[in-house]
Amino acid sequence: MKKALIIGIAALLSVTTACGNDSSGDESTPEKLTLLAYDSFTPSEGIFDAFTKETGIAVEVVTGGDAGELVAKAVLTAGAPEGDVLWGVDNTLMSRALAADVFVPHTSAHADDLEPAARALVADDMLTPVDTGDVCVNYDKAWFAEKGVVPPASLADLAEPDYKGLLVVQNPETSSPGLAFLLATIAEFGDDGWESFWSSLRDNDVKIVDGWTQAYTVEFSGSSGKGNRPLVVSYASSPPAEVVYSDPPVTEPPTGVVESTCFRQVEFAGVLRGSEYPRAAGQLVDYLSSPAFQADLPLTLFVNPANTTVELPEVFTDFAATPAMPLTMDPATIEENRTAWLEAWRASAL
Amino acid sequence: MARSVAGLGVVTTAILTPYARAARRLLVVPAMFVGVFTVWPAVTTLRRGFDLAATITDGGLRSTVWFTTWQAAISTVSTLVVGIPVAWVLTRHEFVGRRIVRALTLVPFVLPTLVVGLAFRTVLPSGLRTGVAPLVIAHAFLNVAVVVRIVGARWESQPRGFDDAAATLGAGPVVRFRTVTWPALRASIVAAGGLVFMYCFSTYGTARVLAGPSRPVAETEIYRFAVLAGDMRAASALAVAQIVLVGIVLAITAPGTRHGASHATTPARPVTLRNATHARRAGVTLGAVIIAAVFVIPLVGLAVRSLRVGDAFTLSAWRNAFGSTTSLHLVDAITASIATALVAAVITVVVGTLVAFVQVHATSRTTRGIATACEVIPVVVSAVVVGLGFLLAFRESPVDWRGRWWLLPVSHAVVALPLVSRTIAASMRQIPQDLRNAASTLGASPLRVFSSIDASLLRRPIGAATTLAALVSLGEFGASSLLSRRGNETLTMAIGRLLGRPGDILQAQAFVAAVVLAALCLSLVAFVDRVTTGDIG
Repeated sequence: MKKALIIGIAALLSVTTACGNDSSGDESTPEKLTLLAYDSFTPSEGIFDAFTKETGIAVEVVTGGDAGELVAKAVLTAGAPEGDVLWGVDNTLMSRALAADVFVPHTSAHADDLEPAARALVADDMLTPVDTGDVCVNYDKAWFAEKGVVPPASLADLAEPDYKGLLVVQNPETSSPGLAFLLATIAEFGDDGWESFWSSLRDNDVKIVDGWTQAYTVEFSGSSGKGNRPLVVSYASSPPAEVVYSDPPVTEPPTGVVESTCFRQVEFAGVLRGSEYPRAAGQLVDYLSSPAFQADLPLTLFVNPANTTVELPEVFTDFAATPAMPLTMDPATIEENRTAWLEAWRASAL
Repeated sequence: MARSVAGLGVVTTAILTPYARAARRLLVVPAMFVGVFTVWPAVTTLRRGFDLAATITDGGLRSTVWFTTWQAAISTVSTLVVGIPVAWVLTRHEFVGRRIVRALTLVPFVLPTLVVGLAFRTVLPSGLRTGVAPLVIAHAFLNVAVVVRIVGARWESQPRGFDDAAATLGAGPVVRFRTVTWPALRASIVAAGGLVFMYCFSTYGTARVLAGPSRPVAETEIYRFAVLAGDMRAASALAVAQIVLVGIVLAITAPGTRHGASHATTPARPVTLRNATHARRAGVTLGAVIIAAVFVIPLVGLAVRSLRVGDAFTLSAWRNAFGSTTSLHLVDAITASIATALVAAVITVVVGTLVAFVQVHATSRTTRGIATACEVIPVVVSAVVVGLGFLLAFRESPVDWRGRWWLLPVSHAVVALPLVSRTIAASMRQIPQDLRNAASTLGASPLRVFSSIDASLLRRPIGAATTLAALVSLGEFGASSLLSRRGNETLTMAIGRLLGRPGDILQAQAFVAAVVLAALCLSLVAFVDRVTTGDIG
């Protein structure tokens, strides 16, 4: 049996070695680049044709998991990446990826058109901002109209008796909007106040569920799931999505946004260290931040383009909330405190 | 077989039968499969940080392991208590619609957890609150199919003559169960219980949705530590605890050498309801109706949600799914799902049959032990750990397999392996050695003996095992979602993605995909049932 095992292993190794391809040393133009992205990365079909026409390089999109999983995988494979460019690391996860040396610097050809505040979050152009979005409390307009209750106007309102048993949020340990909402409360109430705020949320019967899908499509009353909670943590762009994907078409979204609760998320793209074609990968990052690609984002990913020269579609300007002063936090501070904050959150919210 | 001849053990083991020799050689295939696709990646991950002392002293980890263990134990008992009567109704009786009801019990097993939960909510508007009770109920609901399949297969092959003889001799139902049915079923009940415990211990999707944030289980914590917090030390600690605990339970419940006498020479004929007593007829009818109702509810819920866009009922989600929208390519997703399930089923059945063959026919204890290890290792090792291990182990040039299309069916095959090998092994043990001896006395070569006796008697269990493997693959949405994927998404992936976005049309389309997935699963079960049933005219 031992002999058979050895022969088997040898056979396997020889087959796999024969399959391995050797890479050429100097950087020529590749036939194709691999773009790693989260599962919900769904731009318009054929959006990369223009890039391929211009450069002769095809783009293969490889997805697998949500943003958190994407970054975790990139950290584990730092230096031997699964692709050439990564789309979708945000400001709450950024520092972890940068600390693991996942990216190489690249200055986008469109750098000057990108939102300055977003660009300023990264030193040395290690990453290029590609879109921004806000995580905010959404409310079910019909429910509040019917009950004659005024929707909450601030984070602090959520702990008021008027809104007892109305809010559903995501677990910040497992959910990206959940973490953003926790960070919003920390930014709003400060180191001394946020834990007691969560205790009063708990006493006000907040419901904490695993992820966005369960919160929005099961518990929230304003969506297709017809749950029984009229307040949910979601995105500033959820109302226009409800309009775009309605049937029969509606002219008014069924949901609204509590603007003072919004936390700003910025998503970045970057060239992965270990890519065989960093120069071509840089060209792809240029394309991702170009007006041609950026204009596609509002109605496919429901995010704001980072490129300020892009005009927003009407349904977006009409119905997406654009909070003037969203809550925000320095990425390094988030990374430094995340573990401790989550532990403290457990103690005060559960 | 050697050990059944008491006292002659030493002499008989020395002369290896052709089957035992083959078993020894064939072991290499499952050993390599599990070695390359589970052990190596898992070790690669665990090497990134394991600290035994920390595991034992950390109170948080300890309480996670404790909760995981007791909820799994309660879930297993509940599943058996529900599953055994269901198996009795569905395998000992013949009635109109039996096949359909049996097929229905498998639907929750393959549908993504989130979908089943959402569907239930549609029909039961009050909704279940999160906590231990809903978790246990959901586990029982999801795993009844395992009991029906494994215990039912054994029950089906038990001749009714025994029961009738006992009845003629005056034994009441309780005595008959204790003296006839229980001894025959015990081994299969224990085997099914072991599997159910394992699935409930390594529960992931169900626990994330139903257990609530204050009640984490081992696998969700491994995921949280390893993937979200980047704390490989805690993740490894939990993974090792899981390996030890589930390993012990599986070792205890793994079928030993040979149980009871092999007496399944003639397949049992189920009781036709017309000939049954009034009480039995009423009981079975009521049971079948309840089972059908419980398992049809989620399907009706799915269909309703696929037809409801906003407040109105409309076919638009269905029209869109077959049209040219960019949000769901239904035909592509169906093709991808079927292709993945087929490849996964073929891999699982080949490896699983070999595992079963070695377990049943090898004479050396070590050889049998390695075969059982092949069966057990893929499931005691956390799927998250293996999933991350794929990334870490398969990254260098000769084996840079990341993102290859076949990793997905392989990862599904790993999950389905114990279910398949246990189903096949249970039946393989029932084949009487006398038949083979007779054939070889008449001059048949070992290969001929295998093809005309073993292969023909195993047709049905292998068919059943193929279905199970394909179904596991169709519904699998655990750690395999960590794998990077190029090309078409499967139905299960499409459901997850569509449910993750706001908008009535997208939500309805997710349920279109779910209905299609359920229909696919039902027709697969019905088809294989038909093909493998011995008495087709």
